[in-house]
Amino acid sequence: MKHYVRVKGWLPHCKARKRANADLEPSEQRRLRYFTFCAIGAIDVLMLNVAKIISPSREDKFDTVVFFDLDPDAVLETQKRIPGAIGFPGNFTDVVLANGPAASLTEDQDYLAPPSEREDTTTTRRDQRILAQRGNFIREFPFDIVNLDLEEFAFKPNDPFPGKVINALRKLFEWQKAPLYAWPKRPTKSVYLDSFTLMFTTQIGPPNISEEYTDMLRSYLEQNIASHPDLEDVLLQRTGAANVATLQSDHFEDFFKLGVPKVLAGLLLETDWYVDAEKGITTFAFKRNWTGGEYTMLHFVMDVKRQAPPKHRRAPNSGHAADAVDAYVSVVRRLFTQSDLEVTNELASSIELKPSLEEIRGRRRKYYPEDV
Amino acid sequence: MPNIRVHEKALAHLSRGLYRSPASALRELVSNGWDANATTVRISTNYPNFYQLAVEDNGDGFSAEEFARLMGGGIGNSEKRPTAKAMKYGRPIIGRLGIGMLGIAQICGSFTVTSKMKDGKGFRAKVNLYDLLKEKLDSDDSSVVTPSSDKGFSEVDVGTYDFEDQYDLSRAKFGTTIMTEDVHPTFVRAFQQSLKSPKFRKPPSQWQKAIDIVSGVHSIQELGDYWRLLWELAASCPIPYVSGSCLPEKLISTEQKILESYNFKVFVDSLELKKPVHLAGNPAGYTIRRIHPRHLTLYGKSLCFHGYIIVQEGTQLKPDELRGLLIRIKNVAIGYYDPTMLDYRFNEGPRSRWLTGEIYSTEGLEDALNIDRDSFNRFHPQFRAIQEYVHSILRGNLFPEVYKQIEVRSAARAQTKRRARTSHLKQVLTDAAETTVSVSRAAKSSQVSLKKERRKLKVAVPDEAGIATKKSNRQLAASILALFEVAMNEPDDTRRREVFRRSLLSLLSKW
Repeated sequence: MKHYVRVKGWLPHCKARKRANADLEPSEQRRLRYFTFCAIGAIDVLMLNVAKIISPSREDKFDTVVFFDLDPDAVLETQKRIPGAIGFPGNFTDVVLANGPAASLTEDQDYLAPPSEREDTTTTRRDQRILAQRGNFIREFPFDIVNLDLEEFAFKPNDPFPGKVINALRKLFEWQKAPLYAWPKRPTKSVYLDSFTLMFTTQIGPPNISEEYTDMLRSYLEQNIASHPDLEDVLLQRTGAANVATLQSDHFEDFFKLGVPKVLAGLLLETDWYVDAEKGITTFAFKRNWTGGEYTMLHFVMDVKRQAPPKHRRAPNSGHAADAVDAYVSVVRRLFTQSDLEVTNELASSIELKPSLEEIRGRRRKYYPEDV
Repeated sequence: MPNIRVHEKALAHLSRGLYRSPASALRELVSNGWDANATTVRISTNYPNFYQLAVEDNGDGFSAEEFARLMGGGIGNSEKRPTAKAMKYGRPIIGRLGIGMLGIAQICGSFTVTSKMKDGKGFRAKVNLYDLLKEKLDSDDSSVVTPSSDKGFSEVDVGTYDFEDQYDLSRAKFGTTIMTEDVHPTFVRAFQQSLKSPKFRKPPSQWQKAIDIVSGVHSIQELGDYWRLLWELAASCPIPYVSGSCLPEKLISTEQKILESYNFKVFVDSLELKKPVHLAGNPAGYTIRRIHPRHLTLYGKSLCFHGYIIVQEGTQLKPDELRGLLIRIKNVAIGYYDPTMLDYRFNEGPRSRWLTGEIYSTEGLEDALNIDRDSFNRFHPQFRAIQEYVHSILRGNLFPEVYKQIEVRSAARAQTKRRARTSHLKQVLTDAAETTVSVSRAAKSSQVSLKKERRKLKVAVPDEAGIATKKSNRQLAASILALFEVAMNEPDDTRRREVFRRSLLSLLSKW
């Protein structure tokens, strides 16, 4: 089912991104930069490689791919399968938020230099590394494709509101505004991304999700309905809930599926981006079983555009760019009107995914013959 | 009579300061893989960030009990394993002290060891090394130094280890993996900075290309620490050369066959390493001395060695690190290429920068090793024996041949230059006389003679032997005299002066 999402959800958006790059002047074309939580198999990276979306360097290195993994062993194994990829061992949100959510965009400080005031202990070294990692990570931005395949809860009950994931996303979207400088050689003038593809994955829940988070989701939805009262009818027709409160209490999954993309769209708008209204936000959902019961995974896919003109060129207090506001309204309306795609075993087996997986595994063996 | 004892603190100190470079520490782990019958050792550096370092082999692995024995006092024990080990592929055993695993302590504060044997048994353990160990040892800190009942002795701990009982061993691959978890920021910083070296090049996917890159710099250090790590590991590990013909006259073809038969590969970040030696295509050629196998017995102990020395005539070797002599014991390099040529006592000037060579010790010499396994006790009788033999070749045979070759090349160069100058003189004389000119040498005469035959002018330049000036100026003097005589054939002084002036300047312009 996950591979169905990869093939039917991620791949078309990424192909479009590649086509957009191919349409540029030859001197402006470049190898696409990809950020992912790919896990050991690196299936997504190799799928994009097979589809000629992610190209390795002349030395056959995946040096435009950046990934995080909590498990150091997994970083090691992943780098064998996609040689040259830039792997960060550690907790993504801890690294991103290493010195607080308000940290600045550029990081030039040498955190690895021996500190004069602290002894050479495990704690000192850990603090040095995590800050340095953050700096290294920031310097990798921006990415043409961001695949936040977290496979965990976006809203953790123990996280102080709005939570590490939301804070980390905010930072990530800020860093996406950094200039491109690594291709094919340092350009004479700064070049910025005007759009990127975003994939976001999370579990529905947790069951003990805190009120602060549900209030946030509810408030987003209620604001939309207040601005566009006709959405209440749409909501009723689609979910059977007459209002957001009923949706939350009686149809929590639908409430979550509607609320999370709204949060993402809101964060993007806040950080001077917006979701492209043409395709909107595509939602895939599928259920998984584990020993503790069944849970639902949600995958959101969207194209993101930079607001034009960018914030620093707009008049103070002028709000968001007009196109962005229109797109936001359109995207939200579409979220209400367009159902998510429930991926079932039947649906997943209705298309031929096996050849795709075989090809991906074959590519993996090319780079790591010992892989079985 | 009282015994002399070595305090445990000495070994504890060694655990944090034994190796001179990360490559030396990693080489010991590679050697462990070799001794464990591994066919592949993979070193992963987390390039380009270097936040973790892992060494994994697909060898025999070892048991939790063996690990506990090593950690509980077996580190540094010369009985590396309690029972004799069967080596595959005809390999000799390399390891001796068993201190290699702790060598990684120089670059990290903790590491995880995962090992799985062919019977599926194994373990995973986390090793935590104490912070500020040297300071604690010096101050007899009770957290690391425990006084023992045995007078004068203390027990010294360098860290702790814990078996991860919950680890699912079915996930692990056969062999041993050592994964650093607390890589020292200084190491990370140095390696990150090395990627910013002006001459840094991204590592290629083929070792031959890597050799091309290192051969393009004067010193590996120009490429930075990462390249130094690659080069030092490639130079020191018991791995094959790029090919059996990577040196002239197939100098190492036999050695290559042996190395290939050991079936041992080392990868660093997906790049398969080979020995970093490839000499070919030098215009002046190579002077070569094979060191045929020599068997000696010194103080009742055997010493066997062979090897080669090669001089790249007239051209400095690149990189600098390839200059000198490298001694290998059982195919593992001890240190790196020694530019002093084992303390050679004569100054051979730039010629010493053309020389490289390897000496393979197949028996003996291990007792001459210092504890870092990176250098020799230079007054050990076995080391001295090799040194004396090598120096006798250098002094008595090789360098005299090199000097002879220099003379041959100088004579050839002088001959070429003389021909070019004669040809040039002929052209200048032709221009001056405005007719075809032939040039010959007047035998035993210090006079220039001119002879006109139809439309041709025959010029016989003086015999240079008879010209009373410095030898290096004689051809020029003879040529000027010839120009003068040709100019004197002109009808008036003005014309003579003009022709001589023009001819002289033309001659000197290409002299």
